[in-house]
Amino acid sequence: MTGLNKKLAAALLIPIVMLALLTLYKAVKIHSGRKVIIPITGFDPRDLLSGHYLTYRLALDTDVCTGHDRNSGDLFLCLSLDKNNAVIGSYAMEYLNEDWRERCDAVLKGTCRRGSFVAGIERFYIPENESQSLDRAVRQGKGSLVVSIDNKGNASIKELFIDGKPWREALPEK
Amino acid sequence: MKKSILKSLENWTTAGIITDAQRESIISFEESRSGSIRTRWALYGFLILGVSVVGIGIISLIAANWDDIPGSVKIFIDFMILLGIAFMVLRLDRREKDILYDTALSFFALLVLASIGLISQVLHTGGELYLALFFWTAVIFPLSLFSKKGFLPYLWTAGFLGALMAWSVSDTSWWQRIGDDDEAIIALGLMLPFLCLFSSSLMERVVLLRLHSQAFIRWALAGFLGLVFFTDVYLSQDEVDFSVKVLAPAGLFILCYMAALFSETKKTLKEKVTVLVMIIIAILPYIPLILSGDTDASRTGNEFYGALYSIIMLLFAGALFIIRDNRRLFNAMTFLAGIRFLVVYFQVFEDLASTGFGLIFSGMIIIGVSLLWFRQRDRLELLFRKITGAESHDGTE
Repeated sequence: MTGLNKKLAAALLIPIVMLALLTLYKAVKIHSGRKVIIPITGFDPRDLLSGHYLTYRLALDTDVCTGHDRNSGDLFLCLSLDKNNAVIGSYAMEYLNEDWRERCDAVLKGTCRRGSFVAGIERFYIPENESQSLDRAVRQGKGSLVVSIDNKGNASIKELFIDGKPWREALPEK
Repeated sequence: MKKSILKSLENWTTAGIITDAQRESIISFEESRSGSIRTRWALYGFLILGVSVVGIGIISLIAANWDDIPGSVKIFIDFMILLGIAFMVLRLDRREKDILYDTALSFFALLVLASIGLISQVLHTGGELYLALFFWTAVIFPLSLFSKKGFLPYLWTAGFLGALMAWSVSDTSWWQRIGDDDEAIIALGLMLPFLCLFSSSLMERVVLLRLHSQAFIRWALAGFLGLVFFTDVYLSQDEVDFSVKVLAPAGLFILCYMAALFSETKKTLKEKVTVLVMIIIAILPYIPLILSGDTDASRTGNEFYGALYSIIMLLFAGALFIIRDNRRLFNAMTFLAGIRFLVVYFQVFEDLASTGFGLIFSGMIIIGVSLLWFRQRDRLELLFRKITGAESHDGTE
């Protein structure tokens, strides 16, 4: 029996450490940014269910992508929030100026794809047995997304709300 | 055992180079060795298949039942499983059991991919597929260097090419600037064989990357067949039109590969020249498009040009494999050339396929051509060896 292969041990540890760092980075992002509640809507008549996740569109200013093509880079939305951190208004900004805090409560970074504003938070993993109820609720305009947004406008999903409550509490017990 | 080796042994015995006893012991050694290799490869294949099924099962379990366990607990359990498999890999490495070691190593790599999916689900990261695949290939690359068999390097190259394809069809891809989605896919398809050849040529120089190089060369062969098929259709049909920009990535990698090929010392000049001729033939159908500078609207499709192109390319590939002393692939290429020949027959006499007698006649033609190829393939090989000046080593790889 030879000794432990240290190089192999290091090669095995690299993916584990990188996965741990990825998890930590994502978890910190979720808990460190500003909490914002964004209403969501469906792509009716398209199916909102795609595999095990719910796909939707952020119900923000629908005209922000007018005149933008997908190659024009990032777009920033200046968000106005109420006292509960829910979005009450938004307008598009081409650049993220340093003085954005004077005009906006938060900014959301995204791009325009096929005429819609996309911030990379347009899908939410759901259990299969709840998919139909969640699909219905979102179609009825009851859904909103609780996100955490950092100073550069990057958003991470914290929770899906139905009727202002976390989806697990809002849906009837089965 | 090959007939040619048996014949050589017979000749050596007759010439007094080896004794009867030596001949018998060589035959018995070779037979036991080839039998053992076959058994090991069969076992290895089944083990890897089992591991892949288990890996897919784990991913499915995570996808279907993820809500039953809190996210943090799931991630913790996942990391514990990863550490457990890592420990098992280390134990198997010490025992030097190649097959079980490689199976555990591949299982670990697949579990890392499943873990990326799990983290993405629990934390709702919602990233793109290509990001997950590029991340996966980056973190398991050092591990793939410790593979004793070829499966993990194959998995790694498949993951890398998969990531490249997923990125190509994503909205963030640079390819989208080449043209529409179809043109982006054509550009990628035309580029892939040359990217694989270039990657293989570079990796061949590093001993640690030998298995990766072999994996890339096999992907290059698959890409070559795709390129031949696509160009055949391009030459045969009027409707296949695209901008000249689509050729740019392939052109870039052709130049890179040529530089790498001619700086190699292991390959013979004959082999290099054959590859160069094949690349020139590969480019020829696109010359009018290059000269037109945009899209070649005046082009008219002719199915015989397509067939001629395919048959010439496949026969050149056959010649290359004869030079490389790879009979199996030589046979595959000449067989494919024969199939293309049959397709020409059906293109010419397409009416025959609509009548009973026509079908019987066509079936007999297929049987006849197949038997002819089967009986004459050794002669064909000899002819190719004469033409290319390749020596006979009776090798299969």
